[in-house]
Amino acid sequence: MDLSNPTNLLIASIYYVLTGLLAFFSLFAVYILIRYGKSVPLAFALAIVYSFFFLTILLQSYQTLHSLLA
Amino acid sequence: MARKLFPSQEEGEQIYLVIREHWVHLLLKIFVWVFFSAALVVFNRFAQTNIPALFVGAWGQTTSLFTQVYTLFLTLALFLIFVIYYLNIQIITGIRVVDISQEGLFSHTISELHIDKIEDATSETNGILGTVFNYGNVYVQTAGTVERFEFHNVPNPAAIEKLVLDLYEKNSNTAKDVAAGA
Repeated sequence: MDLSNPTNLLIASIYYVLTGLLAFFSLFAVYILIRYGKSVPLAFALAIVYSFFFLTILLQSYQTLHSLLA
Repeated sequence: MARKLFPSQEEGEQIYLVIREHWVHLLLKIFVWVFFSAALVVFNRFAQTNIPALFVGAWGQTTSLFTQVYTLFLTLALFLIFVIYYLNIQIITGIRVVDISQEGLFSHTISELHIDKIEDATSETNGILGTVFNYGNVYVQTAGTVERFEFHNVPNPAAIEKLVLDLYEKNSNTAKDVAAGA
């Protein structure tokens, strides 16, 4: 990833801020679901399914960013 | 493995009703989510035929990055809609009414009202959807300065109101019997 170019730096910064916020809110949502959810198996199952989808898309987007800023 | 429904739940405390918002209200939120998801599909369909340059080379990768981050937003939004729906519950037991309220991610409130403190219960059904699908609001007024309990968009509000008043009657009769026996 080449961050010496100001445009690349700007794109990477926006990407990291946005995905950082999304990851934080996701983590917190999973936390409150497990903490306050009345059924532990249901909460865990949902948390795992959601985490799988979220992390898959996050990984894809990271790879796209990497090839864009190469 | 089921947990206690609320922290102060006593052993053997009879749970009469666990209420969540009516599914129609959940569906309305999901419709809004579908609208934003459809925007992405429409963008992909129309832009590919009308602005093909957006899908070629560096622009193509930028568009791809944008759609992937937007999909992350959508995934999180759907998850939050469900989590907030799932964690907002009202519980009616033999001795109290409990309102567990999850407002957003960072605010979790548990309020309790003992059945014997109830002064009045009111139910209301508003609007076309409320009338057709039989959902609405229930207000439980307490004695004293405590704010009234409000259950919004709950299914079958009249039955919930009746249950609260019946439990109040039952509780006050038991108290009278105990006083007479003493």
